[in-house]
Amino acid sequence: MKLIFLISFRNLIRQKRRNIQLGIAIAFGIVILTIANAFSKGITDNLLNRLIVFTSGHMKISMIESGRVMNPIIRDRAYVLKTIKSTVTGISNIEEDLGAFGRMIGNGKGDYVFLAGVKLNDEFKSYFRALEGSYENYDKGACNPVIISEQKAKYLNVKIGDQVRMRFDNVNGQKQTAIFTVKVIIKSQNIFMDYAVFTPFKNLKQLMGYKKFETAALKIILDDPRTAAEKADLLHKALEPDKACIWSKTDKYSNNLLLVPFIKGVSLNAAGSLIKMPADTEWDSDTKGAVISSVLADKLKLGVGDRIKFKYKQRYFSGLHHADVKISAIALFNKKISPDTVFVSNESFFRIYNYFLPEDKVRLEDYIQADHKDPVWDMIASEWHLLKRTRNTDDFAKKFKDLMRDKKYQPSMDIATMYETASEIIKMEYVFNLVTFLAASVIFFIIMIGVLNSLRMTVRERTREIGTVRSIGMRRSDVKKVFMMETFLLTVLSWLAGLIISLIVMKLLTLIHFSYDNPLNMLMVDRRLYFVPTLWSVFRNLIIVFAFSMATAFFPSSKAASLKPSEALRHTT
Amino acid sequence: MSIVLLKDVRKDYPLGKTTVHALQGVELDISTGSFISIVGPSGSGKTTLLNIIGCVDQATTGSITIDDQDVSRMTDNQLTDLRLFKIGFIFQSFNLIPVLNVLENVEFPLLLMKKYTSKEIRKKAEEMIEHVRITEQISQRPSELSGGQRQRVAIARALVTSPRIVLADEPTANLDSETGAQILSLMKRINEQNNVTFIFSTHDPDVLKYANDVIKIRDGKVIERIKCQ
Ligand SMILES: Nc1ncnc2c1ncn2[C@@H]1O[C@H](COP(=O)(O)OP(=O)(O)OP(=O)(O)O)[C@@H](O)[C@H]1O
Ligand SMILES: [Mg+2]
Repeated sequence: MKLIFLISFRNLIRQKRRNIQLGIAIAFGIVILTIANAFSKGITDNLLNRLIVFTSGHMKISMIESGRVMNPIIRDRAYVLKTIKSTVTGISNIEEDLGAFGRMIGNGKGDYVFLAGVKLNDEFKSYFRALEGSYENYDKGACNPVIISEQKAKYLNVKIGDQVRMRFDNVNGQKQTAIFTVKVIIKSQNIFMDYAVFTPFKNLKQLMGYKKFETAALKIILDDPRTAAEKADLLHKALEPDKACIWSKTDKYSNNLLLVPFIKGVSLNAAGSLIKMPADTEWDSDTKGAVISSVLADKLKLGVGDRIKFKYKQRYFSGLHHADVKISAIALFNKKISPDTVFVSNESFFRIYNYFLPEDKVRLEDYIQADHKDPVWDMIASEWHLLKRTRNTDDFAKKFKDLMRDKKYQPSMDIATMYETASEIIKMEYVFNLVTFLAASVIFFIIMIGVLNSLRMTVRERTREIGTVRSIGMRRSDVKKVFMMETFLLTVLSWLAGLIISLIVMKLLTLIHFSYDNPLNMLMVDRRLYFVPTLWSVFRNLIIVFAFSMATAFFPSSKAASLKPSEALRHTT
Repeated sequence: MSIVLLKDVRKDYPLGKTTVHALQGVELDISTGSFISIVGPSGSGKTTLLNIIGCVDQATTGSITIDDQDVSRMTDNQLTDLRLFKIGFIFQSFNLIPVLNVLENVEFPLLLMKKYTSKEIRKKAEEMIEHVRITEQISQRPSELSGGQRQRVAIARALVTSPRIVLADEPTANLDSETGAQILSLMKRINEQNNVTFIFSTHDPDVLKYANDVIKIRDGKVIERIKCQ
């Protein structure tokens, strides 16, 4: 082996010019490939691990009530969090996603902004470098601090210490005005980020009227963003809701009442045999209030139009919650349905339920003994409406449009991934990878032809030498190894040269500072090109180039090895 | 005791539509330690014969026994090893490996043998180089040597493995007569000292002085065998 290495190496040096030319070609290919890979990886990293992390997260769980998609609210944050933690693996972080959209007024100028609630960690501080002001002590003081981009500050005509006002909808749908103080002006990262104005999470949560145990939406940051869709599917299964109910007491009656919500647009016809309305009852699916059994009406001495009072234990407040609901109809219940069951219209039920979540969950089967296939079950709404998973932006947008139109009081829960919320960004990454792949293919093709030609020439030139070493006693396989080794050495050396050159080139390229208007800005970090050369991609390139050149070297080398020594010796050049 | 034994060896080369009969029934018996010269006009089949004896080419028909081994059924690797261990080659145009220096060229067959340690290899090669008197050029590349020096290196390379037979196809043809004579006397000396069989082809009548047997061939046939001395 040492001998083979020695001969190959010396031969490589012997044909200096040809090998240098070929080496330059290979090195050039490696440079292109390494830079393209690093750039593409940089984009991916930038997009998936920064931009998407700061915007939509890799996965996002949100809940919408009354079609107010701009003000999502998760009422039982703890439950959702617990479910996420027990079903989704490889989570790097879960963040509460809080933001308000509205008009911000600066010094005589106003502009629409997205006010995002942020927790100021080191990652944030390094991504959004402070240009003026500083992150230190920035949330000390009386007023709500805001962090604002250089561009936005110019637009609103504000400086550090100035006040800005903003009007936005709070979680209850009421208009709210708040005053903020500009504490930090950050460098503009890219077009996306320029719309955002940041304020401490705590402050915004309070301003928007979320309670402590509530949140707007949950962003999940994954270790491996590409598993988002599959993990979202898992979570979707785990977040399947139960039927909603309120198990309550009422005065002067020993039994507990079970309040269950109708689904929106319910029709009683389906359950005709179980719940029968007297012929003269005016009731349709939009009628608010409760439908109670005639038995219960008799017991409580209540009639249509009266209010039925009840109280129940709450999940997040101490003490019993007292509530009442108007009776809209009195019906005859079949034996299979307990007379203590109270069917409440979707709106009336969730107007109470959403704000004061009940603590107790009971078996509905204790009250409703109908078979599980019975349509009466389909008439009862769940704790929330779990929206179907979507796979792309269009379906996702349509889902939300439907939600806005529907305006259900019952909460709707959605589990989205970056593939729906940030598909444009992901598409961009895909395009870059494709371009890299194509460039690589062309380069490898050129390398293949180069290696093939060079080696064929070499074999022809060295035919007599091959004859000599074969006569002396070198085996066929060793002759082949010499030629393969030569290509191997050439490839490795060129790869090394290419790698070094590409590292230098990347370093130089990152020194260029691009202008703000550059549309590619969002692919950059700090308006500079961003390269992430990974060890893996560097070695993968080596392996690919190596495999290609070895595969091409194989045939001329085999030909050299199979020459008959006597013929090779006769060869004249 | 014969080291080379050829019986009715024929070699045909297809050449377009016709066939060239390069050897037409050669019978040859060469005993160990001889110094044999093969002579004949150009195209008579000298090179072909040496190639067949040296196992770099195979006969069309006939039997070839080298050092009591029948070579006709050997695989390529077996033939290669036979050449490596038993036969040394000296070529008309020296055929040194241009990328290796003198020492490395001489070490080359020893390295292929995978039999000796690198120390032993170095020692053997240096001794052999000493023997052919080119120690001064030991680290030079072939391109930096004269023709005579190159052929000495080639002889050293052929002999370093202690082969049973050394085959030389017109070893002096590319040398001036004086250098050629030196080379031949070197070969003769080694032949006498080490009892190595030498078989060489030549056009040079002077060469015949050294040989103990001269085999004349014409049109692929041995026409005469002259015992000298
Ligand atoms: N590979 C081959 N293909 C076709 N014919 C060949 C081949 N090798 C040798 N010959 C023919 O075989 C015959 C013998 O050739 P060979 O080389 O053995 O002669 P030679 O005696 O060595 O001649 P010279 O003194 O010129 O070297 C010649 O007619 C030659 O043309
Ligand atoms: Mg000849």
